[in-house]
Amino acid sequence: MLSAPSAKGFDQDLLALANQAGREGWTDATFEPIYRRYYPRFLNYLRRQVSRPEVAKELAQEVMMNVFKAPASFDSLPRFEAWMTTIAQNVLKNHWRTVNAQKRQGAEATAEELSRQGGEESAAGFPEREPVPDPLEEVLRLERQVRVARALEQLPPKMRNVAVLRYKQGCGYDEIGRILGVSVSTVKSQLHDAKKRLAELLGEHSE
Amino acid sequence: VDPDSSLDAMLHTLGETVLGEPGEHPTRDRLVAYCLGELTPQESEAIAAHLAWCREDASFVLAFREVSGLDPTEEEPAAELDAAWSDFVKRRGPAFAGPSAPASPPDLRARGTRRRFRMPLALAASLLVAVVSTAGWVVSLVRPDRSPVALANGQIVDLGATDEERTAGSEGREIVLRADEASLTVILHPTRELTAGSYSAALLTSEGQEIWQDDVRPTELDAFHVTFPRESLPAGKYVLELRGRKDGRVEIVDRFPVRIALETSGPSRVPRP
Repeated sequence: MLSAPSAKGFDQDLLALANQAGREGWTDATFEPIYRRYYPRFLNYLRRQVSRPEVAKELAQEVMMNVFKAPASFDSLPRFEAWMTTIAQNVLKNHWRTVNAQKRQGAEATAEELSRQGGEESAAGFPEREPVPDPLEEVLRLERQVRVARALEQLPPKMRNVAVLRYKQGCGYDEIGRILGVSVSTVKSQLHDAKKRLAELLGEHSE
Repeated sequence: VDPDSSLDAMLHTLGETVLGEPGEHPTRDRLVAYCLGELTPQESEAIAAHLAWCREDASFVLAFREVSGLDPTEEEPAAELDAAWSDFVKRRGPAFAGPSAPASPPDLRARGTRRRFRMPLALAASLLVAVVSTAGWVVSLVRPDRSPVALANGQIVDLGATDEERTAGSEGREIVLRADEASLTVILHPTRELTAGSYSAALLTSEGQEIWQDDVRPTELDAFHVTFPRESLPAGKYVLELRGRKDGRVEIVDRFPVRIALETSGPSRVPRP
């Protein structure tokens, strides 16, 4: 099983600093050790979430700033780290909200521009509505989804978890391993077994 | 032709389906205990099954493992870390340079004409400090605290940025307060753009009776933090109403239904910012 991080003494010092800040607010002296330990970790996490390194750095600074501005007391270091983790998730959510809003605004501006440039020629080149799916195709697609979901229910739990993380959540092998606390080779092996079993259940392949 | 291609195509339809239920969300404490390997195998299996379907909690687990150092982190070169820290110090500005030194008392001796008032002024000042401190303590008992500093062992709940995250049905998000939690801080993310000049938050009972109201200010991220002492929130259904004032008019910016429940025993919880 997984074990807690080492360097217990240093951990206790960090917790003491956090709790001192919970009572009195952060100072440079109390915050710097926290910053030096956690900024690289947040940066590492955010680099996996956003493609541009400069954006990851900006967001990591924002996380640390939010931690700095809202000191609170905790009875254990994992609780403090869980609290900071949620702050990081919120910063990331806000980032994606902003990015998506900018994309929407950009799309609207483009549509408006095309419309203003007017003319039937440019308007005709802009898709006015989503293509309507073929009803029969839609029914078949839903039926396939139900069949797959029912087949998944029949898998042993470990195989099912790996398959759902892979195909429902779109996770990579490494992510699946970290979520489930197993090695990448175990993930690959379980996924292979899951697919084999699903193929049998779905009747797509014969042994 | 890849013999698995048709199976893969079928499995990938899972990405679009809403079938499958993540079940009840475990508390952050449980997720932390899962990461630290502190649960029984049966408990771990139950959490793993939840994580397979719940993107948000799986994402928390991935992030927590990095933040807590369970997963190895790429070392930041010392020079870059120094530069990042300098940048941080510059950004947070002089207002947060540290606790300000105690203000020097006015030099009354230099003002000869006022020297005879020194003792009465000192007594009056002491009395004033005592009265203000007592009043502050009394007010804190009856009035929710807006301070950004959460009380010790306070639960922090982010009511979420989307309607789905904020509510579970029409009755809103359930918040379970543990016996040893001294406060509840909620983080509100209004869905509307913030255009008002000033804002206030009001707590309404399910009957629509306003039981608390105070001015609030948006954070840099356009969210609002509101802290309540535990004793001001008996179990029940409430609506937190965010109001904006603009051009002399007050309008509702957003409403956040919540259900408060009191936990008398059971596993501890980690606050959710």
